[in-house]
Amino acid sequence: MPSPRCLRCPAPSSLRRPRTGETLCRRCFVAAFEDEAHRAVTAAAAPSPSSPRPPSAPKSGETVAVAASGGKDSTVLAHLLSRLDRRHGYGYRLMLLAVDEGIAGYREASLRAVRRGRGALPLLVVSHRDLFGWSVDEVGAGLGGGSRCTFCGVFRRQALERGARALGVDWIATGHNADDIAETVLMNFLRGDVARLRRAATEATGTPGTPAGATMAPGEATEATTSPAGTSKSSGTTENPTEATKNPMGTTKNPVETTRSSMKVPVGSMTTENPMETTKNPMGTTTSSVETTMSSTKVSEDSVTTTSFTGTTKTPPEAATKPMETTTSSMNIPGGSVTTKNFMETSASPMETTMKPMETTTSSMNIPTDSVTTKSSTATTKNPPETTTSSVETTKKIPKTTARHPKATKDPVANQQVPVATPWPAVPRCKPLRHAYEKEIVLYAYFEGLDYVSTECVYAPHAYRGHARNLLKDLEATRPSTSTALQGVCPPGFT
Amino acid sequence: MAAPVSLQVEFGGGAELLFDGVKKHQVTLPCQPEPWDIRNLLKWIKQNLLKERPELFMQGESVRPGILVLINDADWELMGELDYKLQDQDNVLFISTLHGG
Repeated sequence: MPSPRCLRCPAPSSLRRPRTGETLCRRCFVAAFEDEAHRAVTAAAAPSPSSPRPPSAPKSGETVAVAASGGKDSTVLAHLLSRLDRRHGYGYRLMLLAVDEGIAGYREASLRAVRRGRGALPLLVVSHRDLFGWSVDEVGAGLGGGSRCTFCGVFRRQALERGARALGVDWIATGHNADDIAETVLMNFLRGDVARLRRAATEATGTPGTPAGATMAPGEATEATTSPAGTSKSSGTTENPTEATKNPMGTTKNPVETTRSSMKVPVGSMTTENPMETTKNPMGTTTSSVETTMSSTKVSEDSVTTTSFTGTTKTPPEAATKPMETTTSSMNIPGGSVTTKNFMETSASPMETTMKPMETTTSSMNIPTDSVTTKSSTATTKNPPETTTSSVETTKKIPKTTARHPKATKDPVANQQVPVATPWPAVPRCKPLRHAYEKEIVLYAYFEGLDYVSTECVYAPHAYRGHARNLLKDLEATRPSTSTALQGVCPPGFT
Repeated sequence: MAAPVSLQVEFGGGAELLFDGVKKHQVTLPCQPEPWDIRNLLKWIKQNLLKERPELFMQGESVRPGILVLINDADWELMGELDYKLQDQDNVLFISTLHGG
């Protein structure tokens, strides 16, 4: 049985598109796929007068870090954004940001693929080991029977955040595709995680918010409340939709309540206070004192919020023609030395840095500085957790920190310093491939000859996500539009 | 009696890991009373090429959902899927999408 003609040209067709059933040849498919991505990006970037939503894609001149794993989605995303940027003159400044979780037999190969495929794009690799003091392999020994995917995903999100700040980027672009998002929706549904159901399918997270509660659907309450006074960005309180339902330590999260208390803190204080705080603290010291660490974090935040710092932390344009590669141990981002250096020093205190992401996940975003200082001072007197035993110790401390939190927030002075220790405003994230089916991403990569790794993470068979994935595949077999239906959105161009 | 059929069978996207990491296989299917189709080919692959965990490649008589099949670089959905009658020198490619990305 010969394949039918392409619907757009006389060539024989190469695939049937899952969403539309259209049969297209290879060339027409590649063109259509790119065109749809272009429309999705431009529609998301354009502010709509009729919608209160902020743009959910980067604007011209903004810097975008593609979260690169070396897998199919991020490889296609980086390739697509580079190509579309050239073709349509987006004016993006693209770079790659990769996370080395420390998973032997998995991540080395994928990082090699990132390096092979990056072309002229600058690349920063941050590692769990440097940022948090342990690798995913190491932490596993302390978990007993629990899945380490829980930790890995949450910490990866935080690692991306820190890497993005070190680079001084305006956006993080992730390769979540339609199937990933549908999986997440299903997974949240299976777990009864109502707060995250809608969030997974939103175009972007962390964008400047609209006034709280304004024309938001109930499902979006989380996002609405994480936008203090419409000026800040939604925090990392609710993590990556993909990883969202992985609930470390079985703690019950209530992002909405937490962020409400965060909202008491005027965002402006963060940017106005930071330079002063920074100069007070010896930034170059390597004693890993908590104050130094704090101000380092702030400097990174400045790069996101303050114009003067943004200028210094951004990679100069020539970086695009002169590829650079940095790792957390030897960051040489041009012009970003101050921030980068301090960022590195942040990671010199693994105990302290380990606490922060966990604060994020345990709904204690607004831990007052002094509370963290005390905590971290104690922590830093200890040796960095080189062994798995210490790693366990680290994770065990986390609930304590959370428990202190309500008491400490009563102090208004402490509250003023909250932004110092908090990891937000988060660098906004977008998902340009969210309408793209996995099948089409894989075929696009194949037709375009893209080099990606396809080895499964050695721990993936233990992840809860697998159940949702299998269920989705079965549903798709009976109804190919399941993924789109689960997202509950109509993609641009398909109205 | 159908003549022997020579094929190139390829595995990608991680599916090759179930075949000793070998991506390209030149195979010659023996003579048999009925013409070779993909259904028969899958059975043959399972018996002759597949090295481990057949459940990660097969589901029932077909491939596991999430494994794409391309016949001469065209989606098998356009070619009749399991019923496609194999021709000599056909190229059959299996790409797994069942991995992280």
